[in-house]
Amino acid sequence: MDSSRTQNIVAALLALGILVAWSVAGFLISTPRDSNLDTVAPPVPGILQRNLVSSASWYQAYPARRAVGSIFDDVFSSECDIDSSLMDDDSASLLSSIVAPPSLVASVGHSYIYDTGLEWDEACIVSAPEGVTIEDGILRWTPLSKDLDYASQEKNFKIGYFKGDSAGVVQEYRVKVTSESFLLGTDLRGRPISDLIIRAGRWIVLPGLVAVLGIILFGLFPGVMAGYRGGQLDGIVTSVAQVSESVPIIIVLVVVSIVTGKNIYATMFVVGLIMAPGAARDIKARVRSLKENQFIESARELGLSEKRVIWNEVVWYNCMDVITKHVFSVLLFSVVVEITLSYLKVGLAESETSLGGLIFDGRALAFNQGAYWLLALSCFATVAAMGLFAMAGNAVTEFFKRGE
Amino acid sequence: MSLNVARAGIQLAKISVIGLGTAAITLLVVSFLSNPQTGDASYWKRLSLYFSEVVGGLFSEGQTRAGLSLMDFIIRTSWTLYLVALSGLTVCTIGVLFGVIRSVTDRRIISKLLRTFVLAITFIPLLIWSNYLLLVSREWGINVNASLNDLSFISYGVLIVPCAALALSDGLIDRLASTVELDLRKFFASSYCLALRSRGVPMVSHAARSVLPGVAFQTASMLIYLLGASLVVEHIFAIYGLSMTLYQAIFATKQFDVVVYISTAFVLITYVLHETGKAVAAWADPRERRVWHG
Repeated sequence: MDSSRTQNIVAALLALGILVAWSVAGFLISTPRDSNLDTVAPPVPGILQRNLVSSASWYQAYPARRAVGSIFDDVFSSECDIDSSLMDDDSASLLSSIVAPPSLVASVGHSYIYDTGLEWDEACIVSAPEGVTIEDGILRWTPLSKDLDYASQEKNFKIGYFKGDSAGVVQEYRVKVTSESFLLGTDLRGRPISDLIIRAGRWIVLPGLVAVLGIILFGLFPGVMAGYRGGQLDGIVTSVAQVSESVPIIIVLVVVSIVTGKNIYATMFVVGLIMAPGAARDIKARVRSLKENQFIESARELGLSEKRVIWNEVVWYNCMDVITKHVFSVLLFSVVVEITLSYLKVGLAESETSLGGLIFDGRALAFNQGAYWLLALSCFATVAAMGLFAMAGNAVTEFFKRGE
Repeated sequence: MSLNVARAGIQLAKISVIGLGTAAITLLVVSFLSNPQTGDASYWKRLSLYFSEVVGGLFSEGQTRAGLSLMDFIIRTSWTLYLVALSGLTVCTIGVLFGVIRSVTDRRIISKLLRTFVLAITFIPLLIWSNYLLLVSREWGINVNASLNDLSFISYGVLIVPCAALALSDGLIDRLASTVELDLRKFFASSYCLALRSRGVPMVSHAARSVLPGVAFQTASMLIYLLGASLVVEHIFAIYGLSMTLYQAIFATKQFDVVVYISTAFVLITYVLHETGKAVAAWADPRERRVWHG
């Protein structure tokens, strides 16, 4: 075996191994329970947090202000240097407080960064737990064990934002402190995202295999027979392939999913059925190009049975690259179908965790709270699954390209 | 002449069977779902009454039972078709351009880099592209789900971002570029091309003609795919096109007559796209023309 073939088989095994491990882990892990926590940010400083705590997005998301008379006391007891003209009656209404729900949760020992945004001339701490610093509008905090307050588990941050001397606002953030650490943060219901992504793995490989079954039954066998025997079967395969290409797949799958009561396996079998005629056409073309070759004649002369000539000489030695190409295409497409249907809430039951459902939740989190990590991580997991299938598909197809 | 009439009849029968069959199956399916007691003997009677009511509703009373008029359908269809057409045009333009560049680049590294770049961009599924572009638009203050109830060009302008999402996703550009590249490479390697070169004849029109059938077929099936995929984009960007109306009719409002109309409209659009693709291919390629004419 030459080195390129070895590389291909190693790459394919690696990619498939990861996918299978992910899928098995998905079946083994139990459903994460709703915790009593709210959304926990992952302990990764950077853009995810910046968007999470961007005052601008919170301002837009929660525009309700409430004027608090006692806010002036807080302001003047802090390190904020505020122009005393703000105390005038005319400008008093400009200084209002925004309470930003819902609470965020920070894990002890992890560092958090909070970019207060550039649209304000000045941002300063009005009141905050010990150890919080602000510099150039960037708030930094590493919660310690002493910050754990088991009674309320909540710390209040009040940040004053000012634009010149004319406008000011104090925004209040409530941050809970927990000793639990979540590598990838939690979702809207406080469930660890790492657990959710692993659990979603159960819908990556297995439904795709059902689609592969459909493509083998209705693509491989008719394709080989049509290519080898020709005649009416040839015409039927071509016509059916044309009809299957004329189907708006996603809409059909939505209807099928509803009809089958959100049975993902039945839906995936239909995916296989829809994609089978295309595979049959390609396999038919390959078999037809091979059947007049000399090696087929030689095999017959040697006394090999017709069945063996077809399945061994033609299919196994010369068509496997076409077959594997279609098999991995359908596996890849099954991931797309699963996330799309789950996103549209027609793919799986509500209680099931899937990548599409996570993207849906992530979108809600991003739009409502400006927190992007769930959306980013679930999208990354989806693209990673697809990438692994593509990598395995390319490697296996290259492996089977004999003599090219 | 009689042969042509027979062929036209077969085509008409084909479209009728596909259209009415799909509509009827959809209606049956949705009715079954809404009537759990399917064993009831009067169920089929009620179903037949319902079906006659549904089919007649839009045209005899001027609106569906849910109050959607024919004009509403036309407007919503135009949204979807605009979305599909604009994204299809984008895919065609970029795909053909990349295909041509890839086929004429002798230096393999450029071709490989371009291929990797296109693959990387278009590999991302539609769902992710749509959400990403929606978030980016929001951050940049671009309004992508403004009032979509009129037919003004300003309103159509908001569909540019959804169209981009639709065009960039699911490897459509790469597939078209590969088709163009393959066809052009075949053309450049043909003895016909060598003969043209030796005579000094400009090859652009010949090359275009040899690429067109493949592009036409690919574009037709791509547009059909985009028509289905418009459901996702319309859902994410809250565009009340035909797909979104269908989705809402099934899940939210249970307007089963609307489901029948829209599924029939989808079948008709699909059929027209498919036949147009075949016709363009037949125009460009004599071999296809022979198939077209039987």
